[in-house]
Amino acid sequence: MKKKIKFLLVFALFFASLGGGLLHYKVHPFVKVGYGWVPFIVGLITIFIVPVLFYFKKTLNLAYLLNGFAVIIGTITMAHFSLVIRPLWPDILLLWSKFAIGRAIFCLEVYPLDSSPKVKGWNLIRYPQLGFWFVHLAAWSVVYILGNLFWR
Amino acid sequence: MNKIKYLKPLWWVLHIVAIVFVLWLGHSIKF
Repeated sequence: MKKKIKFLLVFALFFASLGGGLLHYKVHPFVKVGYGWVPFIVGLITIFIVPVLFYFKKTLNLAYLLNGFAVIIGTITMAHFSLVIRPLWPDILLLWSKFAIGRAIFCLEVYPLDSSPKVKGWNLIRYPQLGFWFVHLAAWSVVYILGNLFWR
Repeated sequence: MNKIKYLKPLWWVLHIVAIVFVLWLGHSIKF
């Protein structure tokens, strides 16, 4: 059953990424100047590469990292867009479902199904705990804001 | 705990690359 659940979750991730990618492509296709390649390339990676990497145990960590950071990039840039142009908050919420699916696959593979690991102190913000992602979301946001405000 | 051993020696490189990339992203996106 575990294998079946994993397979379904990988598919859920693929479809969520494909839907998000197509939605994004519809809004604005590959932009040749400036940052326009970023959503396109990140989209391709998360649709075609990350689900495959999640499927194999050997590349599970890489998939977990790529998936998490792709969600963080999307969150920061879409939040910026939401504040300046028009609100995209529902899209950001949908994006976080991909994070949850990725973490579910990771936990399914790494921890025994009926375990409840106790993580304390410093380890709460270290890989692969949720705190690691919150710290990186905050850090990437700060760096992004610095780039936006001070690098002219 | 599941650690990524092969990425450990690259810790500094990854952080510098990530910081430069995110700084550049913030710089280049002007809505």
